[in-house]
Amino acid sequence: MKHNKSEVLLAILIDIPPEDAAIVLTYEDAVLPLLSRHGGRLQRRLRAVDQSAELHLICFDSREGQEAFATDPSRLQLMRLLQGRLLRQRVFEVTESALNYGTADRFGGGLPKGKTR
Amino acid sequence: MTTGDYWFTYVYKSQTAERLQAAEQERLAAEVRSVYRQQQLAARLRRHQLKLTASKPAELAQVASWASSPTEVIEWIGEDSNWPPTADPMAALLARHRSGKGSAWSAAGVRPPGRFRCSPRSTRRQGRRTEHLLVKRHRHAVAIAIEVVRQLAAHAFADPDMEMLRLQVYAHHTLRNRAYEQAGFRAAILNSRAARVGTDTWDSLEMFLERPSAQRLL
Repeated sequence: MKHNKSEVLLAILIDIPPEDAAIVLTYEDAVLPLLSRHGGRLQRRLRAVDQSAELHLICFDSREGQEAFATDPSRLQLMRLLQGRLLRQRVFEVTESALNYGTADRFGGGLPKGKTR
Repeated sequence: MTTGDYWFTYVYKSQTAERLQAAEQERLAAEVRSVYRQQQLAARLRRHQLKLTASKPAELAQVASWASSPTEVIEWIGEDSNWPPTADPMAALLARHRSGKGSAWSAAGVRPPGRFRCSPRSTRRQGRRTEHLLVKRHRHAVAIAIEVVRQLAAHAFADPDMEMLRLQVYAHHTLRNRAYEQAGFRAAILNSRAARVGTDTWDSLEMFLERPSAQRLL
């Protein structure tokens, strides 16, 4: 999974409280399709086995795209779906890790060049 | 336990409950008084004093001088939320102002002034982002902030294409956030540990103000 220098790769960890799960997931389902308007792509959407959180791996072509997504009026209007609930999330800007031994094969990668097991 | 002991315990508990109830009533009354005072003050400011005008670079420099610590630079001026900043925050602020990316406004007629900025106009329906509401420490700062936000909303929603105002604030600024809430903003998203300041991390809140909510203020 390679990306250009101008690309922004984000890992977003979203808290899903059991009592608001339906509301949070409805909002997420509605808001994620807006990414494509701003050069954003959802690369992975993972959910905790206990349903308490979701992890989104999102790539934007540029930082401007990320900003445009944040201020997209459709996204802002979709915030109404939250019905006054506070959505808690943590956003990490991430990059490929060179040292991904152990997990590389599992996710389709490989060992760095010149390295043998 | 004798009957007397029991009675004493009961009276003691009852008095404690009464004291707690009285304290709670006093707290609620103080809250109401405080909100009433703020509303009165906001109304006074609205009628007579506060008027927003386009900022000049010199005013921005004056506003920047209010920041006296790294954390205040991040809170008030910085485009970069991490410390130390990658560029001179003041130079970045002035450059952005001069380039026309956003408009800056100062509140004249009251001391101290406030300032805010919103993103540039667009021809399509859109939301705007407000940035950097600055009101100097003052006993009427919350009332001034509410009035500044009200006028910002009036200015922004005068554009018929304007749908929504958005802002990001640090979650620990309860006083400032209360001013936004009183001006009609609602918190929607909490970003945990959005900024790293030295060894601390700060949470940020994404708030928004919709046209129907804003119209109550106008």
